[in-house]
Amino acid sequence: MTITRRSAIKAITSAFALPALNPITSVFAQSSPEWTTYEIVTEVNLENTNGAAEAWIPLPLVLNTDYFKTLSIRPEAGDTKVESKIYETPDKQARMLWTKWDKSANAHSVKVAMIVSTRNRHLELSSPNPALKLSKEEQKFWTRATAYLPTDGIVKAKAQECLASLPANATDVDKAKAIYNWVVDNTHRDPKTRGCGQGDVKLMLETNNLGGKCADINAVFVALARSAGIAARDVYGIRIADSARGYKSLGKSGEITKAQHCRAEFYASGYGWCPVDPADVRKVILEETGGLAVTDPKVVAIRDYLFGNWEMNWMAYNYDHDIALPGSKLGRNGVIPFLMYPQAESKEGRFDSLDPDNFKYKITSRLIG
Amino acid sequence: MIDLIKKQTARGIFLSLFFICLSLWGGYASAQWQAVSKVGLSQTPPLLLNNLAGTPVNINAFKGKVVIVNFWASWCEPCREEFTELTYLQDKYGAKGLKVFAVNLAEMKPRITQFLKGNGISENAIEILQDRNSIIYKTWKARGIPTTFLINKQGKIDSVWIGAIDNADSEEVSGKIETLLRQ
Repeated sequence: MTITRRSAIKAITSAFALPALNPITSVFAQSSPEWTTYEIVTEVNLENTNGAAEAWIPLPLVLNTDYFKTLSIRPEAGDTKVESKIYETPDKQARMLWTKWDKSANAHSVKVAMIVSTRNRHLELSSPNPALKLSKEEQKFWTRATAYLPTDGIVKAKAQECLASLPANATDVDKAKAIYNWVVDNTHRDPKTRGCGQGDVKLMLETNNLGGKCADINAVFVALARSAGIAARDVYGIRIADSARGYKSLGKSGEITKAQHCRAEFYASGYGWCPVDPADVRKVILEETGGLAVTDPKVVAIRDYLFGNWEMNWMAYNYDHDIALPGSKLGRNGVIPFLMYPQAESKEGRFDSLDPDNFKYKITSRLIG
Repeated sequence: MIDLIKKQTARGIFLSLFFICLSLWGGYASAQWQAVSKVGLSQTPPLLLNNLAGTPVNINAFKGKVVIVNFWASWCEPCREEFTELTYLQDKYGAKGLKVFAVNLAEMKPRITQFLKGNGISENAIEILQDRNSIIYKTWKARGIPTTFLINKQGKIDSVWIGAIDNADSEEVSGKIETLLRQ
């Protein structure tokens, strides 16, 4: 079917059933002083590609939270031979912009602008709310094993080791703190790890090589917590602004193409989902002002802060693992462990999602209010 | 919803290991040829991939030669260091019947040619095959890179080298290849 560019865009936008596409004025009307609003734009341009192709761009969290809201998602394709739609994974833990170019396409570009609002997170331990607890089904789901997050064998043994010194009446927060401390003390950030790492926790523990980046280090936290019966999850996302807390290594604004970062949460009855980020403690130790000792006041401060707090200069994408990209010609062979980078395929196969210069893709962020 | 997730997670085994250089897992790696049962293979899996020129290459066409199949990527430091050892082996034994295939994991051609150019390596030094979807890597049951398989003239995998080959002149490396070339 041949359609004009104008009608192509219309077809795209009409395909979305989102509380989205709000004009900017409406966005500001919803904001309050403690919320900050950003526009993040992901542009994909599959250069040197002929004919049919597909791309999958990660989009913000499916459900809004008390620290993150999606206000608008506006896609735009640069070719008439294109079909785009928002796809949510079957478990609704992730969503993406799924774009398909037909065999007659001679340009393969798509852009999506996302407007989101965030506010900083803080775990307040003085006022528990008894109503905040997971159902049995939710508890089972968030303590489940995944391909890279097993909860038995060496992982369970390590979790028990972390908790060995705690009293029998230790709370979820006490247990999570013990695991957090073990992860911070025993892992390290490996700058040679490609991308954000993969989070193969079993392999890391078996080989006693606990070096990696956020997808490795925070996955260790999540797997150990789940092994100990504490609901926990990775939260995949991207840094969207500089840190206002004085940590150059913990923020990125403007061009954020390579600023992907995943964090972690655990669930404590009475408090709900609690933010942690042991990987960023290790990042500060490695990178801040050329490297810092673990006893440096800046490290001590961020270590304390990142158990129970997130600075929200970051956009959350999703919680999902083992994702089958819809429409992929690779079928089950093309499952990805998590979705944090744009993905694409042509008749030549899968594009290298960690090579934005040759893929190509570009992600930018700007503060708008 | 939960059932759907269970189905998905049960299938989520692959893809990620190609991000792991074997330098990570010294506990498994030892610098020697090992029985192929080490990686759980009992027979030679298929290998049909395009080379850098876009020409399909089928390993079955190389029966009668001793074949090396090496899995690598340009971002993997041990792989980069190993590359010159592989080109050396191709130079040294090519005329005697050795064929070396360097199977690149998931990278795109510009990145591969950039690596070759940056290291002064000719595109024809050894034949590079592109495993864009990592499917061959998975079917060969490598758990990291670099991993090198040695295949005899009958097309059967003789052994596997887990980690980087750091001295192609060593008896462990060359001796084994020469033995297979004589068979």
